[in-house]
Amino acid sequence: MGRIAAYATLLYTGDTTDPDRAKFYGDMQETLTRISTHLLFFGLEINRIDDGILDAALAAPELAHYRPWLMDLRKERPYQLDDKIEQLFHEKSVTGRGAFNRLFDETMAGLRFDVDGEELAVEPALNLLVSPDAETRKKGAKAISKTLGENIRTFTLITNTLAKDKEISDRWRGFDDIAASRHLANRVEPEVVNALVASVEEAYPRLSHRYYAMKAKWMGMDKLNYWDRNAPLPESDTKLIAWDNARNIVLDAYGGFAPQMADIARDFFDKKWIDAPVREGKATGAFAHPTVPSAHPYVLLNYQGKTRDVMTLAHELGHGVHQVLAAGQGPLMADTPLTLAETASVFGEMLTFRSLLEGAGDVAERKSMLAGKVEDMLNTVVRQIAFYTFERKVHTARLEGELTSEQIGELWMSVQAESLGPAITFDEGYETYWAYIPHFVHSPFYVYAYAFGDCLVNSLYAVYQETDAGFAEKYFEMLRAGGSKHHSELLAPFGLDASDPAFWQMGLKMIEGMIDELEMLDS
Amino acid sequence: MRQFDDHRRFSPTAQGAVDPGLGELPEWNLADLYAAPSSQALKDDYAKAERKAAAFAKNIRESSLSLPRRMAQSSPVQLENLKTFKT
Ligand SMILES: [Zn+2]
Repeated sequence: MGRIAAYATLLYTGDTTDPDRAKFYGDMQETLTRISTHLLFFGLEINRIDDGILDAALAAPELAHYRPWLMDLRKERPYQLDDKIEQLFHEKSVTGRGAFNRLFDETMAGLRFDVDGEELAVEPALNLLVSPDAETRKKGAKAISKTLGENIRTFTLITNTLAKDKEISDRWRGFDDIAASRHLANRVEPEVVNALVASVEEAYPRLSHRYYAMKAKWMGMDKLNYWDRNAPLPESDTKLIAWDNARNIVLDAYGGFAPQMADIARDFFDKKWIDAPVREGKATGAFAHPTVPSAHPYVLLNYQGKTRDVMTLAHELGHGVHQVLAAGQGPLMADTPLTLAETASVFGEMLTFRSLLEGAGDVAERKSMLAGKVEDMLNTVVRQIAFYTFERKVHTARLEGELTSEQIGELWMSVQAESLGPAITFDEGYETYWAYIPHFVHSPFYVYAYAFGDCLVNSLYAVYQETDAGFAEKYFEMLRAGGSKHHSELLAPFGLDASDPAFWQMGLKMIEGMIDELEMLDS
Repeated sequence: MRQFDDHRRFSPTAQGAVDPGLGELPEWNLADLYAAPSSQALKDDYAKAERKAAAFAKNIRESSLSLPRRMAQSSPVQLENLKTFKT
């Protein structure tokens, strides 16, 4: 079924406006849902088996291969309820959690943001915040806060209901912390997440506070307005990079790390596994789809020749290399645990970034590249940890009773000020901006995984820079493991341990170092 | 439930003609998966998936009550085959 699903998905993303493709994709999803109902309770059933019997069964050689998968499944056992209750939870979720997720999606899709009489949907409205024109950014920001404000009661209801729904399910299952079920699903221990969060929060002043103060100065302002935070920098690059050139940049960077990595990536170009051009109706953004281990991955891009597009190519090819190497684990265990899912992609991006940076023509170009990278990292690391902290506050407060829109807004504002620092002004209107973030609704407490991935790669890269030989082989070994190993096992060969705050500080030091250099270039 | 989408990589909705300065941009060849949506291979795979899923569910229902050990031994292999159409 995986092959059909992959085929239908890729066909559809190639042109989402073609009715034949849309129907093929829709029919596939329906069939898939029907078939998977047969399989739904499989995991639950496995977990009914007594430990002794399962252990005996695992002694059989044909099953030994699946041990990591079964052991992983086993971790859910303590939180599993009786069959009837599981079934009730499952069926009720359609009118409970599922219904409120849908209410969010449909409300969001229906919202219109009035900018100079033009009625924009949410995505184009948010895009105004990265406009080079200050007045456009401000208009966009005001329109967003106005519409969100008018609908804030609905979002408050959704937030209150989903937090309560989660509390009910957590209580029945016996989870002792609001984020415990997420940590379990991510296969990461609470103390590891705590070490990450504490390290990032402690570093806020040296990272975001310091950088945005510098950015305000570059933009000739005392303080940035919240709608200026992601404004393009004055001397952002405009030169176009042709496709062949992009290919060479990435393959050279990969090859500089290890010839084997470039060899795997080269297949993507030579065997037509990449869809690069922008086309009418094609899905936006970029992804690497692993399809099934018996085939090969495909990469979708919307290549427009900017430096950012080259970084995206490097990112998706990193996923692609990982998917090729992990395919040997078979379909149940090829998928990397979420916390490590972004390792190869961010690492590939880092290699490419470093090699581009080395080739930077002058100080202005170097500065602009460094600043772009720092902003990306702040958005991934600082911002996502702040989001996680916000969610913790909301869910914790909800335990005491319903929250008003004002209360949620206050929690939001306090977290923003803390994480982004004194160089940014949050005036009236920003207190509703929590409302449009889909992750809070669809996957509570998920956001820290992004920060986890970025910080982890920074630390890994630091080790790489200090190692003379043998790093690449260990790195490939880690990628080949796919989802068959725990993060502690995967990181141990590098002498790294994610539960140690020093591990995270090493990664954060790299961002700090880039900000140091920017300060130096500035003076 | 493969997670392939890159949540972070939103790029502004693409518009306008492709810049000729970019050179020739490759398009993917999906024929490595199936020749076409209407291909016989795809129809056969659909039918096979339905059959195998039903058999799998039946096996679980029957064996989990009486023979948990047998199920523990055979089910991951079956589940994996089902996902990939290995027979
Ligand atoms: Zn990614």
